[in-house]
Amino acid sequence: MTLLNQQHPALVEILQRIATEQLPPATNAGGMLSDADFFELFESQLSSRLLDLQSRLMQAAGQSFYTIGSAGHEGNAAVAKALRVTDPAFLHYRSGAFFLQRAKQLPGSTPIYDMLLSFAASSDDPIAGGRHKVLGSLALNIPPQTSTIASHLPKAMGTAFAIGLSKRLNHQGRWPTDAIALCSFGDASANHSTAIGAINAASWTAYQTIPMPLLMVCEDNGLGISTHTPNGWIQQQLSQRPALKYFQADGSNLAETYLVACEAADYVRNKRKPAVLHLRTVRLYGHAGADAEVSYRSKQEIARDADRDPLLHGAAALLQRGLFSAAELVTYITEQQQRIARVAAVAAQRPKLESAAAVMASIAPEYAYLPAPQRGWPADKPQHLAKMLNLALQEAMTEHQHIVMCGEDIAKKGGVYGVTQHLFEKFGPNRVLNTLLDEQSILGLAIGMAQQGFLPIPEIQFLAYVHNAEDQIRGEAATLSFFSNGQYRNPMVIRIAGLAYQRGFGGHFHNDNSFAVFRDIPGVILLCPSNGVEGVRLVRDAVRLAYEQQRVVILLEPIALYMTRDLHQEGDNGWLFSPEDTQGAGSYASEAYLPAPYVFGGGEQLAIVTYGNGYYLSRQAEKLLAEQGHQVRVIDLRCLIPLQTEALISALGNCQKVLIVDECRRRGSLSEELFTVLHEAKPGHFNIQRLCAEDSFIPLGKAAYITLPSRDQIVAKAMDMLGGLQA
Amino acid sequence: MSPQKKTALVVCPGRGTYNKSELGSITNNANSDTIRNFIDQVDQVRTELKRPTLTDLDQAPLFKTSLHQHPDNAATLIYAAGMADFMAIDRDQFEVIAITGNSMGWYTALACAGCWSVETGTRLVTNMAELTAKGEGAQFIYPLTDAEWRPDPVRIEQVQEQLRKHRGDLFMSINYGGYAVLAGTSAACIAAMAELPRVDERFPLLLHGHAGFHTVLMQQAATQAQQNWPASLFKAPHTALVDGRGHIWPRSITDQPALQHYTLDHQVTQTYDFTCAITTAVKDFAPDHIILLGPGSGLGGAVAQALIATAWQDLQSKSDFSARQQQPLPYVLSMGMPEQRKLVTGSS
Repeated sequence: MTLLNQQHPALVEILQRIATEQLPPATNAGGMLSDADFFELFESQLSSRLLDLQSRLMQAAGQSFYTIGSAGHEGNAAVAKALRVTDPAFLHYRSGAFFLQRAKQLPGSTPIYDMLLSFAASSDDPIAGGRHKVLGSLALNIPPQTSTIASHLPKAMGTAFAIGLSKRLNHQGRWPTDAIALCSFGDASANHSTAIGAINAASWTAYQTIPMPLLMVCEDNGLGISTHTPNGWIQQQLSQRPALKYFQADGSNLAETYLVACEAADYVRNKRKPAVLHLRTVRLYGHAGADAEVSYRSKQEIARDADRDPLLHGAAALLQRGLFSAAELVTYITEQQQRIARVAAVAAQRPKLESAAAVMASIAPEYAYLPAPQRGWPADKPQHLAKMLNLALQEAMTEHQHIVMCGEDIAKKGGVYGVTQHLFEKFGPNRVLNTLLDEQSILGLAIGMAQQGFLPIPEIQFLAYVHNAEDQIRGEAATLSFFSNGQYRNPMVIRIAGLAYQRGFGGHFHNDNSFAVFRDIPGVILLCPSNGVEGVRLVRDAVRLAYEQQRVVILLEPIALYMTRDLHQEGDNGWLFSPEDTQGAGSYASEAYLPAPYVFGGGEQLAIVTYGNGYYLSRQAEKLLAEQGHQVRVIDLRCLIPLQTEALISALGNCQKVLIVDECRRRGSLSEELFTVLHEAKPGHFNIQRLCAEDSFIPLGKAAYITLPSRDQIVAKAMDMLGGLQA
Repeated sequence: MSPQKKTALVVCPGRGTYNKSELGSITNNANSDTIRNFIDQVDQVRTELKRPTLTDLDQAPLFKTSLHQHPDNAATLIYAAGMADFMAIDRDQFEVIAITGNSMGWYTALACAGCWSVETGTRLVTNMAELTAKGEGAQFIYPLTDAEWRPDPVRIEQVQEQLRKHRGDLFMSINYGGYAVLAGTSAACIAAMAELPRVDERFPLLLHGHAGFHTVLMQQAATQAQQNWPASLFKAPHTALVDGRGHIWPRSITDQPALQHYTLDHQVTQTYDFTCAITTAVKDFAPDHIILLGPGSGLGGAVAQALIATAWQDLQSKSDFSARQQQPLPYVLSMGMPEQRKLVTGSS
């Protein structure tokens, strides 16, 4: 369907108002902008508006799939002009004019074609490859955002910090050390805890005079879909924060916006301190294409906003300056509309994503494999998990100068469990950072650092604490490669202390036994070491996967095993291994790029499939079962996400009876997936039983254990399964 | 615009395009008063400058290298041929929506877009030819594609290797579709040409009479040019322009100092990315047609190669392009080809 001869009714109205000169007073006719500069900005605003309207026509014709536009927010073009193309910009979805204006700073950019490809969800779209309508560009230093709830603010904060860190560490980052980071968001999103957290983290950092070159632009149109923002709320909320400078401008006034944006950008760049630019805008044509705002706004309100339309103000100024007559401007706008319609017609015909494989290609693209470095073992004698993790982290930080660790209490204290002891002293305060107590900010910091070119190792102090921040992994870190067609990446190793069975300490928040939150996130890897040898191996694997394959890797460290030394009885040192005997008489399953399961024993009567604390308890149980003549093997999965099904089946050998021991809850735990994949792989072949934790939270004291699998329960269940066999 | 009008991107050719076969083409094709007046104006300026007139040059009985390829004569012929062709486009049939050019074709593009009067354009083109011809260095051309005009990674790497080897002395002068035009000191050019494998018996091909165009060797010419031609002479274009970086200059209002600086400094001393100019223009203007002005028809290959390099409209090869051209009104229309010229000018 051709749209070449269609004009959106909103454009017809704009043209009529210009033709009849029914325009607002030309308040921004003067000011510091030259005619050419003013016209350049107007042209960006106009293209943005025309693209919005074209998108709506395309949507009606089934050619476009996203109609949240920038209409009324086009003053952000002047913010773009106040910045450098090398300043990373994390933009919210009403930033079309910013994008178009920035593209003018990089000759050879084709923002109109690129945006229309994005509207049309074409696989030719140079940023997302047809996966989402995003504003993004590698060349323009605009990492794509899909966030509608300000979840990109923590990483903008992290990026600003990382730019300063690059300077302190003499590190060659993606963005130059005199760059500033920009993020934009709406007035409704400014209420979001994620936004508040990021603003707080920026303020907290700057308060300590640590560089935080971050410009946060709040584009305040007074509405969150249908909910009004109280008058004065944004100003009150954002103007009174420590070490955070507040600027404000009328987004309908190009000259004022440019002047204030220059002032704000200069402040952030020169002082290396954060600032908020409160840009008062209007929202035109509703929240999105399908939003009928007449159902919740009065006609007067809508008309009042229409009178503040920045495009009409710009048009008035062009006439006032004598640069165009009304008729000439109508002709110019019509020409531009036709230009965009022509480009749209081409873009609409470009190919779409056609297969699941094509869609998924950018979730975790493969990169060149690097040769494994020759390393010795970091310890001269067997040690417990916490110590071996510590040594492996020291080794990684020595090997990779761009690793930076961050988390609560990880610096001088060395972490709650001593896993990061001595790292602060050895690598200094720029590579081992104590953060504020906010997991969203810790993960946002890590994402920002990763985009700047560091390899961050953030720590989440307890597994339960990740849940308030999971979107930073789920919605942000895990999706970056997907929505940028692999062009932007944020590799990292997220260390999380977790799982249950802590002796004499706990309650639910320190003994959380659920990591289901990670299990359905495409592309994320989760590794779980069960002892010191695995601690070293899996840290090495995690760093390799992050560094070489640019992956987001989670290292889930079982707290209860950190200091565990003994296996069967006190003083037997049975849980201290050396690399030579690995974990005892066993082997690793068939070679896989991701860590393959470890197989203890060669018994074929029963295989116990487990991980973490479950592996430890199963090893205790195995001894008791062996003493009764049963030949059992115990399989430590090691890589829990994604499950290595083929390697697991290889590890099972001739065993048909499979007992899954899962220390997490019966409902939602890995046991469900294990059961399913084994059945799917060999229908009817395996006799599978599960022993899981109850669907409960963890209580205090001795009661902490009664909802969790125990050694004796494992023995009993195994005996039950082996019942038909004579010992 | 009436719906039946076709939109067009106009492309102006650069140096080396007025040769023996173009002799007489400008004056012979001058079939309107507008064009004849233009030629008269150019002749008048050239007379004032005490240089051979356009008419004398174009109507000379024989093509003489020493005369016609003398830098300011050649530049005048190329500029005037382009302008005359631009004037000959049938505006009832085509709406020109953007103009670009290759190398000195940028001057023609500015002239077509009305940035200069005919007098200023003629004087400036003459003067720039003199200034740059005085510059040091040499220029040569080398293919970067295979026979099907697909980028050849081996040749691209070979050229990159020479650029690395002679860093500071050898530069990418023009990204010219499927060709690299390299320029630099004479010594660097000779050395690089000796090391590059011979292709098609012709390449690497030294461009006789050319200096180190679009390189830092032209800095002195650029400095002088900016003194000679102030920003106030650069009027806003009446049609959008796409420059040799792929930057778009919108019509109607322009930053005169910026346009002067680009034209007389950046464009003179930095790489001219013709490929990028073409791909930017087709993507962000989506013209129905690309009209190539004369003189000659040599630009067609480079334009097609630029389109193939970006797989524009799924063009993957020379064969694709040739097949795409097989229609009553081809996508690319070269005014140097008589049949296609008729389609553009509307003349029978």
